[in-house]
Amino acid sequence: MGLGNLSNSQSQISNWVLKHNLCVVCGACVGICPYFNYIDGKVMLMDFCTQETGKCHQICPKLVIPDVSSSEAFEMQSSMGTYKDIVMARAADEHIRQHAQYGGFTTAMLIYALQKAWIEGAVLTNKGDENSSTGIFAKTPNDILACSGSRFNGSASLSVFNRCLRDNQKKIAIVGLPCQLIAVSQMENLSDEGEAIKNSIALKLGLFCTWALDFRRLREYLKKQGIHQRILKYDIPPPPEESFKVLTESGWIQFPLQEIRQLIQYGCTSCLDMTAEASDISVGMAENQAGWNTVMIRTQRGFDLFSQAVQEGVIETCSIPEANRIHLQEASLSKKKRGFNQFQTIRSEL
Amino acid sequence: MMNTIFQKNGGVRLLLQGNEAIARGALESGVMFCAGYPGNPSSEIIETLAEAAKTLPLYVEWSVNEKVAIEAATAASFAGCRALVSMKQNGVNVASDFLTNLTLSGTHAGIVLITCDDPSGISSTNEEDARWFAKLADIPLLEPATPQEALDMMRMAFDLSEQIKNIVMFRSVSRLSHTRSDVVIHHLPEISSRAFFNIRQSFHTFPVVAKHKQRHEKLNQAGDQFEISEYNTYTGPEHPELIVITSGCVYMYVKEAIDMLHLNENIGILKIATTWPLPKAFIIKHLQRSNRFLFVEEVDPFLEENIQVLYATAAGQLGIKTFFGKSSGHIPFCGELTPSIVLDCLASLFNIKRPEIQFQTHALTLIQDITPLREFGFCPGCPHRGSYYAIKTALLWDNRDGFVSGDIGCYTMGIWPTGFNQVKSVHAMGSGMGLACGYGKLDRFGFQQPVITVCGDSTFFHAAIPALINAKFNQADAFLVVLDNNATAMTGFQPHPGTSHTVMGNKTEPVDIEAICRAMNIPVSVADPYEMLETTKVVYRMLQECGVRVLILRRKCALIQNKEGGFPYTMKVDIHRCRGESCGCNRYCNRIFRCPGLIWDENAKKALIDEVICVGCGICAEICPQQAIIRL
Amino acid sequence: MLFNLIITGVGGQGNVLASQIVGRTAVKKGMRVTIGETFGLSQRGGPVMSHIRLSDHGQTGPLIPPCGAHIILGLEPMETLRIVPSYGNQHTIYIVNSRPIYPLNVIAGEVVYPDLQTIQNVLTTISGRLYWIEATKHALQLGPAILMNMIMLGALCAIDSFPLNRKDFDAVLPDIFPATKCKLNHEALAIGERLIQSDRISFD
Repeated sequence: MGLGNLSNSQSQISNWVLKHNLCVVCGACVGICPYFNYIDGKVMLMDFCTQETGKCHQICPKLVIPDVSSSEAFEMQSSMGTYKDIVMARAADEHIRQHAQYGGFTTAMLIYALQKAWIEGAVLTNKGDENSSTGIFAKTPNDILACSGSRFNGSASLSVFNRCLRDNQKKIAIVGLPCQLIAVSQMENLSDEGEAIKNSIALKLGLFCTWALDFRRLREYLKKQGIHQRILKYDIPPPPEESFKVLTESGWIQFPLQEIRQLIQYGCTSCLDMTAEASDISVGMAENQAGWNTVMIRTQRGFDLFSQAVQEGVIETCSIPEANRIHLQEASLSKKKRGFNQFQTIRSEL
Repeated sequence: MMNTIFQKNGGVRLLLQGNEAIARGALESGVMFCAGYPGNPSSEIIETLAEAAKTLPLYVEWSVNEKVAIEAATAASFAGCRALVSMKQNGVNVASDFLTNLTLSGTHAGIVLITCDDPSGISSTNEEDARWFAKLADIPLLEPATPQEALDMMRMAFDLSEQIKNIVMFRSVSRLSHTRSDVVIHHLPEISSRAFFNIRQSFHTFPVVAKHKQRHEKLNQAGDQFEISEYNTYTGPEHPELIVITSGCVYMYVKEAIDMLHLNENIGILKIATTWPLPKAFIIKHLQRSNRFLFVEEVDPFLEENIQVLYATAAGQLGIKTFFGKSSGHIPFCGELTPSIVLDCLASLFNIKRPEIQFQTHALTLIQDITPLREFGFCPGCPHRGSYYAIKTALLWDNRDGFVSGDIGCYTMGIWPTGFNQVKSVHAMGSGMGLACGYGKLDRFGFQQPVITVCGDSTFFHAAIPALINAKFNQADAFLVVLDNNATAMTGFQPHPGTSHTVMGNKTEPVDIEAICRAMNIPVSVADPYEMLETTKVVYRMLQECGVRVLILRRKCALIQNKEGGFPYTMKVDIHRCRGESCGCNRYCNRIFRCPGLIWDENAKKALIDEVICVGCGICAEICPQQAIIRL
Repeated sequence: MLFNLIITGVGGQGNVLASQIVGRTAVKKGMRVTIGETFGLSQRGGPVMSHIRLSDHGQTGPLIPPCGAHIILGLEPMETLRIVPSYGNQHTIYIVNSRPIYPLNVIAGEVVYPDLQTIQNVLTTISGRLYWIEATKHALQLGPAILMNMIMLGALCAIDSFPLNRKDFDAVLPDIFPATKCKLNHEALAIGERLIQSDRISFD
């Protein structure tokens, strides 16, 4: 299953991902070379590179061909990838929960891991200097706290991960969207430096994601709606509200979700992963359970950290309602099917 | 080297450049007022005269543009002082609005317009033949063939202008202006005129028809003089098989080609140095000598067409003649003429095989595949490299298919890889900003691309200001980047209103580009093109803004910095950090940044500083992804 | 006598100054001189070529006719090679500075700079009179790289058929350079002359 007649590494990204607007702004290709830049919610090809065996095309998540070869690919049971456990969880610290979008699980886990020297820092997404968010390598609890909250658009935060690797940073935690964790897996599998990359990662925290917005189109949309101020916070309240809310200095403003859906990154429509299957631990909102997160423990590493945090009272848990679990499974399967169909459609157009 | 050019005494043989000979000729004619705007190949005329003004009683200025230059010089003529105005061919277009009216009003003291045309556009945006203005506006036109003639014919130009009370045009070309040759100079006159405008005289174009008629009478007067000019010559057999009719410095090619082909018994040369109006009787007399004529001139078929019209008026008397030249395809219509072209043409007309062709063919096969063309590039240390790098980056960040509208200066090279191919249009001085006025109003037709206009500091004063005012007035969405390198760099660092001295060396209060913009209530920022990342951010930010806005990218021309003491750094490549061709770099500095001082070491497979070329500006340190380029 | 000399190189190598020194020296010796200079975008690293024509009878044109150069003084190897078909002939003497100045398209790896040995082979094949000298290297030992042009002039005047000699050049330097710079330029001329003289042994 090749991707067409492409001559070098960079052109696989430029001719397939960028030209067809498939980029989801993960940032994996940013920061490894001067040829890709990220700014204001977009990854740009800066110059032509002749490299034929470069890294960029090997790590781009949109150049990964979805593995749907097994018969279980589209079965309910496997729609959320492999995991050891799924629970509801939240930060025990009320202060953290107040800052958080849902239960503050991610923030609490990271601060705990940092304090226990499990990690030396975390690749996160901050709020950006203008309106666009960017990656940051958070090395203190305050840095981590400052990043809490959902963004709803790509931030190319893996470019920060690349910078960490260049600086020989060890014990890195990565908090990323499903696409970003796919990219990280690709990086870990690179033939020459993959092992070293793998060894420098201490934790992969995945965030549930149905889609992300195209930041520049969102900015334009908001401008057209008369919003020129800095956006402090975004929120999508749970169904059936069907709205998209932004917090500005003059308060919350609400827009119809139907209009916002037009601004979804095109690349997201061909994504098969809702629950960040390549993570150690995946985190998302908990349906109808305000102040809680849904948490999936996927690996032994994730399990060990999670259990310790629970044991030490940093994280509070409770079991997930069966209806929630099933609903999550359905949503995940539906994204998989939709994404795969779209992937095939796009590829047939190439 | 200059001092001997300005000596009082004549009769000395000096090595002078064509432009220096023109300047000396003007001095020998008692010129008092000189103005011009820099432009290759004309610039050295004013520069030489400015040097002369240090010891001789004359006034010299670089004017803000060619139209103002000719106007200023004309005032001197009106007030009884001999005046000279000098420019390149494009400049004549700028001056032409005044010029075509001036020739109706007439002049008083002698005034000469020098146009230095640039066949092949060696350092121009076109290879326009400015001689057509002479015909268009009924101006007598002189065309010297050698530096000696350039010097000698200046006196003729001034005298004629004074006699007919109209401006005279004097045409050089690059090859004459930039040729050095031994020239015999003459005495400099004592200047005793006092400037005085006689209020009983007046200079205007009314009544238009009467003045037009007068203009033709003046032209006829000039024509009568040209009939007996010593500079129009015929040399050759009494009745040759072919007569070459030629003008300007290509005359020398013709002369040598005839010698080389041993055709002295077969070909005559009719050299015309007074190309408009034609010395009709003189030409008709020589047309009788032969039945075959070849026109050799640069650039357009000016003599070729006008003489054929003249022939038609006398065809009954002259009989049937055959004319060769550009129209017949024997001489190329475009590009500078060379001895080789003239040789080829004459050899083909006489069926002669040129012996050197065999050598040429052989040598060409040996070298052609291994000798690549040399790409033009900004100098090492040039601020424009940083400016365009920032502009390129900002436009890509912006990602709306933005582009650059440019005009004339060193920064024109932004059309090439040295400027990252950013500039998408180049026409006239200030025209980038004029175009921006148009792009800036296209939004109503769905135009969403951002446009950055670049113009140099000298160009800003020359012609961009009216367009900027237009953008403000008509509320165009226009983003002007002034590439301010504190000089008219392309033509050799002439001062301009933004610098703090005049060509005569006087201190002057610089005209502040920022203040001009602010006075129009146009937001203006300033950045340093050596700080590429910072500048990129400023450009990117300003791309997101609307309306008219100006960014000044300010850093002195590298060649000026060199003269003023050089650059701060010695550069070095840390070969352990340099990734060379591997992933993560792939020779980014070599392939993309393209500085002549930063080369490739084929053996080490790493970047390398060329110690002979690198000046040490240090900006490449910013672009290396590995921080392998180090400032010492 | 009509002697056609070409000095070729790229902008910034001091080509125009070198040609002026030759011209002024020749005028001082009572010769007729015409120098045609092509320097369009020369400050910007483009090719620069000066045609210097010395004659003891009338005026000459500013450009040397095809294949008419007696000596080609190449300040840069590839630029020397470039003009061989246009101005060289079987008898042309080549004096070439060995130090390349790489064009941007070569630096960028888009085209290849001709191999220096190949350049020497072509010039030798075509003329048999090639002086390949490391003028830039010697200039850097003496002072700034720009002295290369004076070393090349020194080499030029060591050629028997060239109608000017080092004494003639030496005599003109004070007219051109401030007194403080004369010494270095005299030295550069001497070095150039020596380079040719030592090279000649291998020719004889």
